[in-house]
Amino acid sequence: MQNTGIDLTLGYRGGAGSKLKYNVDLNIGQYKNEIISIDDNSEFFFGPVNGRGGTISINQLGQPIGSFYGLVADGIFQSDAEVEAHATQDGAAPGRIRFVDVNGDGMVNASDRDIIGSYHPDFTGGLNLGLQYGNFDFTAFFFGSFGNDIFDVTDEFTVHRLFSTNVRADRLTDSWEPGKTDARYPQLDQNDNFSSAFSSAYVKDGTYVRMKNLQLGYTFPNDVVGNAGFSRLRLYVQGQNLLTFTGYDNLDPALPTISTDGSGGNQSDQSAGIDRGTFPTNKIISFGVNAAF
Amino acid sequence: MKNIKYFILVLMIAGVVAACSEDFLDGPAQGVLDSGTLANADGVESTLIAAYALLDGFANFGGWGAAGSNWIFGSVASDDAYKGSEPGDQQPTTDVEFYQWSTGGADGYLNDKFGIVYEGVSRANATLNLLNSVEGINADAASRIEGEAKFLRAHYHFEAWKFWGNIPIYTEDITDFQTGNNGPDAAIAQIISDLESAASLLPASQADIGRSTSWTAKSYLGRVHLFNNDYTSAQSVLSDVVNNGPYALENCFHDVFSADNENGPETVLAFQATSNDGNPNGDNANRNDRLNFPHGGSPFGCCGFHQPSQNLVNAFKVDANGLPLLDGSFNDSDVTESDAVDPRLDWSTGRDGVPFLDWGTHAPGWIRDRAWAGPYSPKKNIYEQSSTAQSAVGWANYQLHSMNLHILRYADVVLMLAEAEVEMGNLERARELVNMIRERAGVCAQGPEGGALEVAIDDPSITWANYSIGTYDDAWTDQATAREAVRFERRLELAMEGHRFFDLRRWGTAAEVLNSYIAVEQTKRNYLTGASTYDARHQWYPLPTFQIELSTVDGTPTLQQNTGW
Repeated sequence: MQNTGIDLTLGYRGGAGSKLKYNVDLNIGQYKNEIISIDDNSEFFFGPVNGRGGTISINQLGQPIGSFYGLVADGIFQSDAEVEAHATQDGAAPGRIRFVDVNGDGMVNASDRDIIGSYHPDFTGGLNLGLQYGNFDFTAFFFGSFGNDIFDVTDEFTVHRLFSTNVRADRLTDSWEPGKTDARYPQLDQNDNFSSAFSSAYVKDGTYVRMKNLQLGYTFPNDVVGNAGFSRLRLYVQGQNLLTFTGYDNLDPALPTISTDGSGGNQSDQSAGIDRGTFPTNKIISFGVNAAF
Repeated sequence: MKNIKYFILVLMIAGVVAACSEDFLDGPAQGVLDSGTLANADGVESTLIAAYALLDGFANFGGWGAAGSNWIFGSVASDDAYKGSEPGDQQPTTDVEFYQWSTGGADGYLNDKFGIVYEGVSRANATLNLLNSVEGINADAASRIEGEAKFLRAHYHFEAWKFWGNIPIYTEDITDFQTGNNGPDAAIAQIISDLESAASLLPASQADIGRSTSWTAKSYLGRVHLFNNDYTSAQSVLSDVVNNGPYALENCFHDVFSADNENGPETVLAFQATSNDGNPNGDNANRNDRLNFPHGGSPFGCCGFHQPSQNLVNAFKVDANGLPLLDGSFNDSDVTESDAVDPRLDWSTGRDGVPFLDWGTHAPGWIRDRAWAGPYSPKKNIYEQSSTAQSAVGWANYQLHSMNLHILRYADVVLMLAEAEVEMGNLERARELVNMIRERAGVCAQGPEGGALEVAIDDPSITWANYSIGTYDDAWTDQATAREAVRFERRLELAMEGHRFFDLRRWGTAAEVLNSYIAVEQTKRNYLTGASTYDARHQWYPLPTFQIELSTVDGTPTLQQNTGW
């Protein structure tokens, strides 16, 4: 396996007058991951994490580790005529997802599975902002990940209703019905075992920017607190994960690593970017006092 | 203090010097079994036992699709049973039931089966190779081990052949595993050769329960000949088993499916299940069949899979002479409490109001989703509450038990011989054999709650059904009628045991039977409207995509997919 890329950090510190000081630090990381050899003769092997629909990821020569693997979804069949015109696909019917006949053999089956996404971002970035004005201080830290995909396997339950579970609220308003050509989801249909096949319909853009930290502080002037026995006294309020900008509409685009151990040790590199509905990142607001005597 | 420091330094140097010896680098890997470690008599025997261990379809891999009982691919795929449970659980099983086998779900289940049966072949071959490399095993033991390994290799290859037909075959001398399919005929030839060899190498009886004998191999050989439509050879070897072999029918039908009565005279080949044997997950029990129990309100709790079809339940109706309705009229109306039925119905399926072994009376609350897959439960694979079979550990441990799983039983042998006799024109011999089965079926019925488990079929305590069963007393003179009677008997006797789909297919009646089954059944179970037509390509299951991709040499897969997939 080979990683190539760059890391770049830019920083600027400045001020105006005696009271104002500020700093801006930006770092950007970019890498490309590629599998260049497997056992000298294998072409691929599957990743360690499965959903109920089977394999989610594949490790294949020339591709990044832990690439997502499945059928390629191509919208929803709108009519019987579209079903007729399409390659033979089990369970094909209006209102169900149409899959691409990748190998062009006239049938849609498991050999049409392809690489459908990757958790590796195009780039990640961090931005530190700092500002001090007189006795007030302010810092903020933003982190962003751009161009990474998420395989949202919770859709098996919340969209496709395995185990007769409750579903997403927009399943009510955004499911296909005749004429609804822009529906996001297939038709509500207890007998549709097919649209739930692992496909690019599970793969969503995981780009996000999150304000991970924000802090506002006030340091009391020495002449005020010195008499009370403090050499320094500062009050602050801090917020973590207060804001997230993302188009990803499940719980949290910043996924925890799925811990997987196999015969070769930790395999979490092969199972990243898979959303199994784990507990999301908390928003935390805290108040604090720094006191020195 | 100073001395201690020097002492530690000396120890460290000694440690480094010792650790750097070449032996350390060249020694065997720890925690890994290799052929060197196993190259002794114990190693050979253990490898052989490891080959037996896959009869149930589970090693540390192999899910529901790999079940040795073939409850999905042999039973749910047929007119015997539905997936059961509820729509959203184990959907790949519905794909199999719907004859939609291209889907990723069915593909994954088939891959599990492929992985298990070829792991079985691999372990049998490993046993043979080890046997050749070890000296000092006496000639009798060596023959026995070779015979058992070849028998098991034949079984696993035959399972693969039943599924896929055009399969790769691997003998112990093969080291290249990307050579592609060998063709259905070469596979059958290898299977027959292994079984013949096993029949001559193996003793007629074994000290250890569960090991194969020459009679196991002969019985199995009869099965293979019959599946290969070679009735002459089947009749010859199966007659030998029936006339000279050690087997007999159990007295009461239920004794075949009793945790208190394992390895009786009717057992030809069974997976020797165990529970509470130290395995923390109960993996040596009936692992891949544990979904197949009544659900929620029952004493088991989960999961309501493998529910008998209405068509199967109706098939147990009998006429005024206690004979089955061979003309198909059995399915004109659904069974009611007053209909005369074959007593095997209530040993084979769970019905509301009927005692369920010694677990109480089957009730509506035992069914997971009756609007989906009807009101019946599987029963043959379930142990008695009074037995000690239940596992104390594992997921859903009420459904894990040590009752053996039959792969071949004597009633099957008798009915296979009857089939061969019909095809050879010996109709009266076939009638005799079928009557043996029917006489035994009339010995006992499910007993009342709180009473004896087995009672006579006319016992006054029976209030839930009207049992009746008779023998064929008129001479059989028409081959077609005799054939139908034998086939029908086979369905009733072996219901829910994972054979039905493969039987229909080898008879060439699968398309006709299954398509008309679906046409009627979907008026009773609405979800079956989603099923596809069974057509020519369904002759074989599709080979798993993953295996085809793994067979790739220089960019081209050597394993060819079956026609139509």
